[in-house]
Amino acid sequence: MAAEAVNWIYAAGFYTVAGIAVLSALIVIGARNPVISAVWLVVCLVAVAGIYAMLHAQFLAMVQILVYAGAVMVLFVMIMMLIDIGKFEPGRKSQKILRVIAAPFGVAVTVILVTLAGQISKVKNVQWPEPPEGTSEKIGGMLFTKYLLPFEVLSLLLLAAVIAAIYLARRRDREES
Amino acid sequence: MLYQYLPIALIAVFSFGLAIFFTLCARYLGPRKISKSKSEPFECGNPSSGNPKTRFSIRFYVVAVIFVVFDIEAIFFFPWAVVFRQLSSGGGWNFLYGTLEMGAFLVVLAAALYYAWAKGGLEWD
Repeated sequence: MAAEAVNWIYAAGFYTVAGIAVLSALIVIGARNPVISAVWLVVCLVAVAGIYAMLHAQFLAMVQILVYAGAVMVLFVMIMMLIDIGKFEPGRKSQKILRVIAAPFGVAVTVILVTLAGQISKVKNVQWPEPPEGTSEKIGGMLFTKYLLPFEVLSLLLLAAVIAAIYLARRRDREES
Repeated sequence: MLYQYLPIALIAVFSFGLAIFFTLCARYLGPRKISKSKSEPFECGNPSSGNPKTRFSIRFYVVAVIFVVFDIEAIFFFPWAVVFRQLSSGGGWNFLYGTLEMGAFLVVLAAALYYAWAKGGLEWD
């Protein structure tokens, strides 16, 4: 009985968070103003972080909020400041063409997803393996022993990102002056 | 496992509820006298100047990328700090293990910061 109640709470939590994620994602693609899209994308990313937390990936959930909802969104908004947003507001005509192109793809994706979901829900009485706990301790233990080399290589990737950003920005500067 | 999230769920419900409550209070209880100057965008009391939808300096982009890079760097400190004692245990030269691991990571990122600094990425003029 208690286990059933826990399952109900879990399902309610999942559908709440997943619903927020889907709805905010729809607003992101539906909003005319890209800045409003960006704000709703933050809501979407935080909701996805909630799903990570429910999947026992606590560290990933925090990273999702700190890096994606925090840093990557800053980058998105910066890009919006750099481009001339006024010019990029889509006209009516191009949107109509896009809708015609997008419709069959949307229908195809929906059919595939519904079919897959139907197939998966037919599978019953399967003992799924317990998900590993995604705590900072577990991830740290793996990252700094078994996956030490990828971790150190990551620093080179970040270095490359900084060099590339400065290089790109510098060239534009030269052209202006 | 799940009940550990109860405080977070409660504080989320409480804070969202409070925000919605205050917004609704302001909407239904507050008087509304719309005037031209009130409808203008607020720019710290100054008269607003121009359209905000213009292009900004590329410098903002450099600062944003540097912020993202060092934000990601900071994220890796958390799992490292949690397991630092275990990494450095075992006697002998092992006590340097955790420090050297993060040290190598930091040296490369310090080189990134040095590059940004030397190339004037942190200067604004």
